[in-house]
Amino acid sequence: MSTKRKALPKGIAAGEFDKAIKELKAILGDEHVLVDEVRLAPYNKIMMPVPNDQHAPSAAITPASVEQIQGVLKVLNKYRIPVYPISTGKNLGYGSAAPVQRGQIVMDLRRMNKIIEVDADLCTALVEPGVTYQQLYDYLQEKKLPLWFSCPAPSAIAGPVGNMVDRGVGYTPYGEHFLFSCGMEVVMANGDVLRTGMGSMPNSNTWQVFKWGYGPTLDGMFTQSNYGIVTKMGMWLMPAPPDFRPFCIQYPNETDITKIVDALRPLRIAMVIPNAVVIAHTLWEAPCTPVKRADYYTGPGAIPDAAVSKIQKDHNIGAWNVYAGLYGTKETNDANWKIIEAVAAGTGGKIITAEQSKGSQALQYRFDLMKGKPNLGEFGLYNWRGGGGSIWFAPVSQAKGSETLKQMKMAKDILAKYGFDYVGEFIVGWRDMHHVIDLLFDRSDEEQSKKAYACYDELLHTFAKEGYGMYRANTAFAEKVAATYGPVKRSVEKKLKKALDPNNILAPGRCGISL
Amino acid sequence: MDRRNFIKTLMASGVLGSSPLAAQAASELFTPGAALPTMIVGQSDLPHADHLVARLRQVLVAAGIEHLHAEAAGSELVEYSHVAALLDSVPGKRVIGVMDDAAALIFQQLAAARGAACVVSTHHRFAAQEVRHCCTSAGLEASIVWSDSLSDHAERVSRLYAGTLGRPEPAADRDARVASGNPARGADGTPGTPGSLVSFLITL
Repeated sequence: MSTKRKALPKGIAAGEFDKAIKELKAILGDEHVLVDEVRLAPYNKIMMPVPNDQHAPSAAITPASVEQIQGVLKVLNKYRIPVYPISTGKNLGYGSAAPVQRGQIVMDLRRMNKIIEVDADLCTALVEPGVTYQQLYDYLQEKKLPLWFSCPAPSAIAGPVGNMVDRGVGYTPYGEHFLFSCGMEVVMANGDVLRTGMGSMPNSNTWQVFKWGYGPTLDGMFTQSNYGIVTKMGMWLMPAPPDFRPFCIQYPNETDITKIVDALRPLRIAMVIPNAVVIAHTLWEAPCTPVKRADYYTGPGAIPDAAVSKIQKDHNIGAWNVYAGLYGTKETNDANWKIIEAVAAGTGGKIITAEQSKGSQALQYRFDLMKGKPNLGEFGLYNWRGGGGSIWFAPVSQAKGSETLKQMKMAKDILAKYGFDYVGEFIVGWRDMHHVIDLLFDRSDEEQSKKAYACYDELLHTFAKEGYGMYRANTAFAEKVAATYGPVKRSVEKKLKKALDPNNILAPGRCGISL
Repeated sequence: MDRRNFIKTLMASGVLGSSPLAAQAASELFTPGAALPTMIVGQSDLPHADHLVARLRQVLVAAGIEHLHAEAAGSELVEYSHVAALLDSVPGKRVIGVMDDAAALIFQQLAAARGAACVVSTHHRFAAQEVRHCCTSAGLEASIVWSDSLSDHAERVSRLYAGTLGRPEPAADRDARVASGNPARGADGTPGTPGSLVSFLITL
């Protein structure tokens, strides 16, 4: 007898689905095949401003090994049932654990959580997808290894494999995470197990130290895609520097952003500042301070500029707050510190050192992130608006001051039109700049959710017209964001999909890729 | 019948034991370990949470549902180690959380990473004269939204959770308590102050 379920994979009859579930249970055990709606609730969408049913999973499975994944894929190929792999499922503002299309089976890899190897001499690690940053941090602390990693803001509960596969970023000098990965193990749709780079070669011990191997480098194909399931990943760790000097520079005016970027870019490119420079707006800092929005504004629409100015004054928050660090020896940092002081003085900024920051929650969580210490300090953002909704809008631009005010005005105008606050930060990479805007909305309010959707849509298309593409996107907007990159790229992606996953069972629709 | 009337009817009639919420919850809530006390985790520095927890505890006592109560400040509920320790200390399977949006998200996500199921999750938005609730449950096709007056909201929400746990309290007890009014009303930050709160029931 068929079990009555609310969500089924597209085109799959209930009877067929039940047969597949029975076969999956035989492989994984009953307790690792979840079909009860209460057990599936954690896999429902959280931050996508669309109705729940659009991303409702039909089931969730929690395999514990590569062999089990291979068995699962055999069943799913047989029934043509799509699966949506997640590692820890915590990329909240980019979509969380919910599948990209209704009815997909979520493959939750959290049971594959082994730290397989840490080589303290070569500063490398090999980890499974269920490993969290907190777990890795605890491991390094327990073993007293003087090694740091880079992690994103929601780091304690997120994991390195998922973040790297989604091409996330962090705040240490190793903050461009994919760049500092080295070697993947990938289960392909047909069950083949591919090890990239040197990992393909029997008896090689260089999998985690040399990225390229021989022939085409394939690793990038398995990021922001659906061509395989990453089951192991190598990552480079950073030796803890003898001297770490984090700092914040506060600026009083919104228009200061232009000179900030132009002054800091050369230092970033020359590696005087080796980590990504975060330039956070007042309203990114305020919720993490924490400041209550309702204490300053309870009216309709976006918070007025006058209220934002008052928050700055009341809480000693800059209009822009620059975060970066020096990593080296005392001698090198002393020398570079003079450059930082000169830049701050020349641009009208006020430096706050680690010692001066004591007692500030907003500064402390940033300083911790810059040394790879996981924390959850940035979650304060979810209290700003009330209702806890968040979509991260993240266009990329050149790291030039001229880009900043232009982008900020475009964003503020559109956000205000829909009644949302500008909560943004610029992150200066080596030559690029991410402009991350947290579109905060009340996800318990249907009207506000609809406005959030429309607002993101308008932001996306307005920025795309100006040539600004997203570096990551909320699952609900995967198709629309992919479309902004043009037809040829998509055509190639589709051909690859057809070759590697002809039954279209691996997360069809993820990043807009499907047959 | 619209959703608002639906949930009000359920609550007023005390038939939550046969509601979709309770039906969905049943398989999870009455398994080995379910006889152990339900743990309530409340955010201590959030007056709206304090008020709801106090009323919830009264309702659970009246309904004969054994429970424990743990308090934590908002700053503690965004600490990984603190939330992990709270989850470690849960005596049985059931946890009711009452906290702000950020803390609720962290708590639910950390619990989910341990395989927890979410039975009910409700957002509460406090305005000057009323509270709007948005309740999501695995047993419902869509969220249920309704509003209460400031004097009623904690009572109704508490009964929702008691009913979901399977034991609506006797009507006489309920009526007596409703008549006693809202002791938290009037102080700084208590109902009447705009704010946001999340309550949820999860099973570990």
